[in-house]
Amino acid sequence: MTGVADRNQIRKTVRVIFFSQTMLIILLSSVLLMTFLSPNFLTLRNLFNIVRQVAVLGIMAIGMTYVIIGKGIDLSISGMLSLCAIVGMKMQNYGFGAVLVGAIFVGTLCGLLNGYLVGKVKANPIIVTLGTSLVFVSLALIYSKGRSIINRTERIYSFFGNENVLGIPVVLLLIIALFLVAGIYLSRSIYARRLYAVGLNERAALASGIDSSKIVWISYVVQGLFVALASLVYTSRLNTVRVNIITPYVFDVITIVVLGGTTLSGGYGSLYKTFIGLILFGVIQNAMGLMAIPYEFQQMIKGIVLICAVVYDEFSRKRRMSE
Amino acid sequence: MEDQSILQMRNISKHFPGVQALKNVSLSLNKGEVLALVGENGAGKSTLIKILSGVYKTDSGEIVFEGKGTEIQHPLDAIGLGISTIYQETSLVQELSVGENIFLGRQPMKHGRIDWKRMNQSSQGILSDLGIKIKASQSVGDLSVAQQQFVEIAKALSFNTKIIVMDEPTASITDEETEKLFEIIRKIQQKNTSVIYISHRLKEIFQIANTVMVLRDGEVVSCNSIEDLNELDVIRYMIGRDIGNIFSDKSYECEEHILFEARKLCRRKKFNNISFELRKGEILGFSGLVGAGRTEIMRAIFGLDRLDSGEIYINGKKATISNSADAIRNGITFVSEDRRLESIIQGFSITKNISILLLKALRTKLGFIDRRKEKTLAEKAIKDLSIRASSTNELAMNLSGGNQQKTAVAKCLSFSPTIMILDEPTKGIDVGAKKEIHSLIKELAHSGVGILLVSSELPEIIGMCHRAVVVRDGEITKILEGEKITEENLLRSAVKTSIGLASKKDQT
Repeated sequence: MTGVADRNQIRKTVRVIFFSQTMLIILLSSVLLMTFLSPNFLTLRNLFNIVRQVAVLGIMAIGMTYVIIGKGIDLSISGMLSLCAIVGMKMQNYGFGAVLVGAIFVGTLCGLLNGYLVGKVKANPIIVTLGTSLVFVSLALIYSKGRSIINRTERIYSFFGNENVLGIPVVLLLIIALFLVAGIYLSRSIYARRLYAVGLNERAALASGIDSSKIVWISYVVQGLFVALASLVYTSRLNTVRVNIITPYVFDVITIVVLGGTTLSGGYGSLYKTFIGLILFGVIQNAMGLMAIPYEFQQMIKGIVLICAVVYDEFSRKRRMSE
Repeated sequence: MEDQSILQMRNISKHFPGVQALKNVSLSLNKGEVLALVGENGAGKSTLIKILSGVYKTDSGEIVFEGKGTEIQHPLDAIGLGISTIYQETSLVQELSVGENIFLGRQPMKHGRIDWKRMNQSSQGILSDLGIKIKASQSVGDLSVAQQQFVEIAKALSFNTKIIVMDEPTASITDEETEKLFEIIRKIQQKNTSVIYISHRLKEIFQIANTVMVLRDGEVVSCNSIEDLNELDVIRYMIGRDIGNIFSDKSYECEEHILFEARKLCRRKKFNNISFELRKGEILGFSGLVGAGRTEIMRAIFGLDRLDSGEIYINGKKATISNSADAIRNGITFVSEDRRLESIIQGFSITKNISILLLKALRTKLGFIDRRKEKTLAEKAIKDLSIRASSTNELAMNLSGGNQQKTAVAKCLSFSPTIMILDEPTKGIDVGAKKEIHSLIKELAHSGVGILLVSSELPEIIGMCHRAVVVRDGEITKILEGEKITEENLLRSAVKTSIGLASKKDQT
């Protein structure tokens, strides 16, 4: 009899591990699959390439994870990225420090605006950030007069995006560091605990003395800050910077966060999940390139991946509720 | 008898997510009868009416109208049968005249245009038939709420209506207008039209109704002819909870020191002029009907709703409470009546729920949460309150109602409050857990915490409280003390009645 009980216990544990680590399992199997399909896949050069491709998205996904856990969403990140990049580039004559300060200043300001409208005014985050997205792009266009800006920054700047330390891309180190710091903060800090509380149940959070408006507001500022950091990596890899009105960044970043398993309904998720989502996204994108899938099909595949991720999210949410 | 009956609703049940709104409710109505439907808020009156008028579909049961089984799928079906409902909010078009409203959508026509003369004449006829002194050509927007209701009645009658349902018609009209309304209802009755009258003003019901049906928690608890009832009976049926099965150990005393004082608290349309004191170690009960404004008062004290005016003193000092964080800083904690959505975060573990008020105190040097201390705190709470859970990491949503409530209380206790607000702390939890919570509340009071206990269960108020505040329609009608807290005193203050109850019902 005990044997049966043990076996049931084991089966249950296996199931729990399987469902909590679904995305990791999918990631490992797709890596395995790609290794068989393409000899170029599992090379150090290609892996570093993947990281370089997704670096900007990954940094923005950190902020997006915070926002989504607080039951919000930020669709303005593409516009914000353009604005931060342009302002940063305009500052390049005053040195690297000025670029850094300029971008971060603008990102924080954008986040403050979004946070005020969503957190304090309680406006619908989808509509508000769609609106501010246009405002940010417009400001970037006006400021740059629609022209490209040539990147003439010092070596220290391009060091970020292009160079290696001990054979490891600086970008990879940066990403790991950012995910670690932001991840530990998200799992241990008082602010983060309150953010989860607000995301799960705003009324209960309010009744526990949590100022939910402020908590939500801050999450958008965090997003702004990470977009500013992303803009530095973004510009460091380019020779010229130009405002691009239609950029797929928002779409990709939300796909990454949801793919990782952070729930759009708020209050559930982590940066570990987002990191898995990021790598999985990078592998899919890279695989499509290696297998020479035409661009128009790539877009469709990305769309289907996002839809599958959302459907799976809904499925696992119901599973959690019933457990 | 058969030809007298106009409507029979048999075994009507209706389920909404999370609640059984109606359970096997049967109702029978004769021609020319005025049936009063009473019950507390949430008793199921509105649901029943909405089923009759076609707004909701019933889950099971049947409706027999004039001896024939019918299905009412849509509001138009109800109107077609001759059932008209007059809701609290008027459905008249404010910009149009009285006559136009009465004949809206079926105006008498002549040469392709509205025949104003005929329309106004017919409308005026209906109005004067009922003794309503309103001109048919007058604009509805200029009429008072009561007058608009009269127009609605006239409109209903113009449809050859056989049953008129009135949902709290007197809620916002004056006494004089109420008299007028009753005259109209009597006239309708003479025409053999039946009325279903919803109200919780017992005085009115005894003036106008032939039969009184009392609903509680979705079930019919009594349906009697008015002659066989007095007001106290009706109240008893409405509140209808078992009396005398708990504790009456009030051997402990509260201290003289005044912890908390409310002075003339007002919030528009919710409550008015609320003043009371709470002493150290006192359990102060708040009794009254559901919807009387007790919860609203507590929410305002805790800073969840804004006060329009009034002052709060804590330990003799004036306190400004503009949000719940202020209240918590002042040592007040709150266990909401809405356990599922407000006092507990379902997706958090027991530990995270218990520590949420204490996060700052659990801070490490780096500004993080000290998870070891947090766990110890939760373990202690689970032991102290005997919360039944597999571990401290168990999610709140997996706990039973009673254990969730204990977790909510534990959360407040971990903070060692000086004042604790408990809103219906034992609602919907099993008897065992109820007892545990009762003794916990007493222990707390004994240790010097001041407790504001809102409860709709009379035994709870009678058995637990040093004093009891009775709230009716947003105002304090009585503050009872010690031995004076009895079922009868509480009920008498809680419900608007016209006659001395004690004299009429004195055999107990």
